[in-house]
Amino acid sequence: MKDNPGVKLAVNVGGLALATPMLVASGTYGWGTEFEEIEGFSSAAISGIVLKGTTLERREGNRTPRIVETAGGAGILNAIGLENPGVEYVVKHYLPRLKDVKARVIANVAGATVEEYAEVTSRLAGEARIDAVEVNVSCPNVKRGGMQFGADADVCGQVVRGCRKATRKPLIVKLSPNVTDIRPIAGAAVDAGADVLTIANTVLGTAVDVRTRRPILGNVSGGLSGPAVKPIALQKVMEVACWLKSEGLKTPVIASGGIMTGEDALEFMVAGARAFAIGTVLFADVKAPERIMNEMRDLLAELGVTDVNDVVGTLQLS
Amino acid sequence: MGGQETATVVESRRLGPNHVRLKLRAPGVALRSLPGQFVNVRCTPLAFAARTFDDWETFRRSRRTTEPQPPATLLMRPFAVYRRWPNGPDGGHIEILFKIVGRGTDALARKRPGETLDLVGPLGTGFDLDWCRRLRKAVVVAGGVGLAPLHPLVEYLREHDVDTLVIVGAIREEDVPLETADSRVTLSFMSTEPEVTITCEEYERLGCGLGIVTLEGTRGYKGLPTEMLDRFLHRREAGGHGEMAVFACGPWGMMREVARHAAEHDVRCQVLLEERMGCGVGACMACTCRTKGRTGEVVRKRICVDGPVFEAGEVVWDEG
Repeated sequence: MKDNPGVKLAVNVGGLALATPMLVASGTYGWGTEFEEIEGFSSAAISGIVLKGTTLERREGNRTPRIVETAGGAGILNAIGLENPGVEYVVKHYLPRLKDVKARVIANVAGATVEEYAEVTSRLAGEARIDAVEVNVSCPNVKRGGMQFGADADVCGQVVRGCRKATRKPLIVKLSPNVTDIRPIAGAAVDAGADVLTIANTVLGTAVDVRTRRPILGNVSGGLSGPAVKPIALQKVMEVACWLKSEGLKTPVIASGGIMTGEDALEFMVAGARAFAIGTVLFADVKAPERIMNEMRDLLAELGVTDVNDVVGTLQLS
Repeated sequence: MGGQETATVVESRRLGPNHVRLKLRAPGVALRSLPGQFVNVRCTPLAFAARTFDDWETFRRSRRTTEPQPPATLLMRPFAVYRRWPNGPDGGHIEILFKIVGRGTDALARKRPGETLDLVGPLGTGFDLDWCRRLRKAVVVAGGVGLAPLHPLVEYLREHDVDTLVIVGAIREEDVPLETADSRVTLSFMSTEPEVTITCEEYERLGCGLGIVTLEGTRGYKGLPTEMLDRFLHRREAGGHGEMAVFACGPWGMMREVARHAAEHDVRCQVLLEERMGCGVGACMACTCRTKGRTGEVVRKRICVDGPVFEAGEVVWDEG
């Protein structure tokens, strides 16, 4: 990373101290070590790794194809279906590999029932290597255990309450953008004990092959990510941040949705996010973490900002 | 695993209406790529990355251009390393061979010498070379552009004096991704087939047999590549099961049939699977395939890192 000693980048999200505001989003960074295998890849700018969504038992996931790029390279649709080897395997085989990783490690928890969410949270949060837990109530690609929990404020509240009882570590709730009004769901998550909100998961979409007259994705529908969703996520972040403020709540927001550049990231922070997660950009540019952080530092310096926290929620709406 | 490098286009050659051979200066990949491995290629420049401050002028200029630009791509695209020259005077070169099928390959087909593109590689787990070089005979079955990842294997097999027959199957003539000619040919072990008169200079030089099969019969034999494979496996001299192998890459249905024929003749078979990929490094779980676990359960494996080469008997073929 370029040296811009004048700019302070450390942030604190709900008790989770981060060296930079940059995290990597669940599902895009595997179990935290895969990208490190690429020579020249630098994870130095990444302050928090959100692990792949984990369930109690192993899940095989959806049929392939599971990924397709959308027109003009504006985004990608994915429908992995929470493929994971189950929580015990994750604890036994994947967490030890993260022993020497400097970044914070955040588990991502999914389930088919309120009890499963709580059980997986308890198992993962009990591990010293796990610094926080993100509750995934927004995966669009599984019939049970995903978005349906995050589409209803009451159900979302129940899931979060269960997880809250299972751990005292910072609890993050990742919300879906596929709802009429995100604010009541954000409110239910905060009421139930969420320390942080991640906004947002992918946007529902599909792709059709006119020659075969079939959907391209094995799962028919998938979640859209990448630059195409950035305005949607940005609006949701702004909406929730403004609402939290109006309610007198200090719950921090982690932004996620199509961040490709340092400027994109700062837009989210201005709109009210305390930190941000990158994801899809990693599949386009393996230098993205370093590049985005450099771009952000340079832009902050250019704007005369010495502490990144000073831009959070500075959007002028009147 | 490999790293990222910026490659320079050295040569772009159209091969019939559908195929392109793109030669790139890419010393890192050229030096290290093993048969069966691939590279992830960024087919169009990252327009989003150009919104950085150093590149701001370049970005603005690119917006003013009046030339039609190919649509942008986001994901990198995986391509087999078709050929490589590790010791070029200006650093190693590689060649990729691809069929134009969509935005990414369309953009790549427009690349001209001197243009640059980013790639990451070599990636993936290739063929088990310790085993390959001890073979006596090998049949390599390619479905169309499935030839691309098999070509380095053919070269490797011939370097180690493995008697090799390459069968290229396609729908019609223009789907055969080879420069062939009609002339006399001497095949190492297909010599009982005097009607084969298609030659490919490269394969002649390598000293391996070449059989071309098209479904429409517009080039070579009319039929399926598996029919030629089956005839060969039936005629094969008795014994030597352990010394022979079949390799395949092509459409799913073709590989499944090749696997079935090989299994029927008790010949070990390896296939090179293809799938739409995300990260290429095993993180996103987009390209997983179903394999048989030790106790019969289905185990998902990642084509990008656990493969792309798999034992044919390990793959669960019923998912089409």
